[in-house]
Amino acid sequence: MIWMENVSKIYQQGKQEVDAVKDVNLHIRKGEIFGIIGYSGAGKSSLLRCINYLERPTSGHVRIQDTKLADLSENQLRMMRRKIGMIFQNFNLLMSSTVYQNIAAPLVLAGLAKQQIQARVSELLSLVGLEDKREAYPAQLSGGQKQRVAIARALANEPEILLCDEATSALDPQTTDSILDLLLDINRSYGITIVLITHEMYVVKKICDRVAVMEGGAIVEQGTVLELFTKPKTETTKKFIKSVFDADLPQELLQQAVDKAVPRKLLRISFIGETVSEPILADLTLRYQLRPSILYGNITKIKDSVFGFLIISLPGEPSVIQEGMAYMEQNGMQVEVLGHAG
Amino acid sequence: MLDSFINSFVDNYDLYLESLGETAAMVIYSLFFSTIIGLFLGVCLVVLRPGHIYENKVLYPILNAVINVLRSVPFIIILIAIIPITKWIVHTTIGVKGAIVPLVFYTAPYIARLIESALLEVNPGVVEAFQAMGASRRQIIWKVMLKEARPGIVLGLTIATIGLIGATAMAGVLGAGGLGDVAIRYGYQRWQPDVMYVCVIILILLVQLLQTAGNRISKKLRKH
Repeated sequence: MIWMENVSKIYQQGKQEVDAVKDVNLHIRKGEIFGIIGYSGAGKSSLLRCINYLERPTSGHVRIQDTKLADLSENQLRMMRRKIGMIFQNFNLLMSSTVYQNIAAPLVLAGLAKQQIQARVSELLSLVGLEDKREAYPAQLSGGQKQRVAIARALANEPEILLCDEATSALDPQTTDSILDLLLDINRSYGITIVLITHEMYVVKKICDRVAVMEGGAIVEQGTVLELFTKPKTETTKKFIKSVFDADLPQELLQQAVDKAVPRKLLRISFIGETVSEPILADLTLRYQLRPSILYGNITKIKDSVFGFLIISLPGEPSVIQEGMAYMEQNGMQVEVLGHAG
Repeated sequence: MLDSFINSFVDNYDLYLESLGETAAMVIYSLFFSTIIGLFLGVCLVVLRPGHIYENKVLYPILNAVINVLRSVPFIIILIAIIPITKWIVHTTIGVKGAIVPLVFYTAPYIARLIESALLEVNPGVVEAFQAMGASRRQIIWKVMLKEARPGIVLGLTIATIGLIGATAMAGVLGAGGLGDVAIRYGYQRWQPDVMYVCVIILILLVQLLQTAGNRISKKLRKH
């Protein structure tokens, strides 16, 4: 659907050159929700704007379906943009226009007949649940309602792609959830490809299928959200995961556990999806007479899947422990040794 | 005191009415032309600047400098300095007609600056949002910038109108007539201060009325 090939964006700031985007290669598939996460200044905003050419890449190509954006004339680019909706952190609505007029704006620009516009806006108002706010002005709406208007406006021309620029960053947690649910719903019911940028791992975890981690203008890691959670490679990714999902036993507890005299191993067992519900610890006891004690654990929902882990202290003969570990791995768990004692 | 004002007003009723008419004519005509020119220049001052939709690194600094130059010349000097231009455009340099050209020269650059600052108040994010939805540059100027800036534009035009009323008094030097002219001729040259005071009171009322109306309209347009 969207291909970015060796995309770079350099800004001239006085005499200095700033590399906002460095040699990015991405392929975003049709119908998926793709997240780009990074701290502020990582270049994600510039990268997102390269997709609809609000920013022209300094080098590299952007293709949407079979169209190379660089080959388009100004008019062709405008036509292309009608098929790419965009929403923003600060909503960017016309303050002097009603909700109705705001949502109708792209349709008016496209030159639709008044009756068609009325019908389409009514449809969109009910999609975002704001039928009763038709004649209200943006200043009379809450942040969440403003973003709903912006979403309706972005969907007016039935786009195939929706770009979200920190769409929930100005909203409180509850409103964030309702907007994310709406985006997920739109993605599922209309098959719209969503590309979102955010600095909140929570957003990625809740709705994204795949994610790219950006740092210093470059993509340092990408994959499915589950892959990132289970096998993070870079420090940045680990930090982002830690912000929503703490997977580390506090250092002093770890030390206490290792200081015990009886020989034991300290393990982290990770579960993904259905393995979460298996009675694995009971099996350790029944099959190998091992008696694990649970030190720490956490479980979280990642979009439609579940990811969890346990840190256990496992006393016993090293060879038996080895067998137990092999058994757990056979059953789809990831086992990692954190330390030994004795 | 009050009696003498009322007497003066009643005695010279025709004089005041006529001069008010002249002031109004000068203000309305000059405002009309200045607004058209000032709106155009004000929009240019915004869209030609670096990073904007018609970015132009040559035209922008030139326009900016020209407007600053015009804005630096006091009205009384413009009045005299452009006499040849006035003559060429309206074929006279006196009367209401002769005053309109210098008044437009004076007011249009002022309005351009007021429009510029009103347009700069518009959230650039909204412009970006409309670019993202495929609006043309012309649509962005009309449907986003000018539309969103309406409350500020109305306030700016109110300020310009009041400034214009002040300038018309000076245009009296060229025999343009108007309330300011009457105030000076009768009050200063003929020692009839009561005529001057009545003129000033009419001007005060006029300014109050305009400012109040401007504020109301602007508030009505401002939905936030």
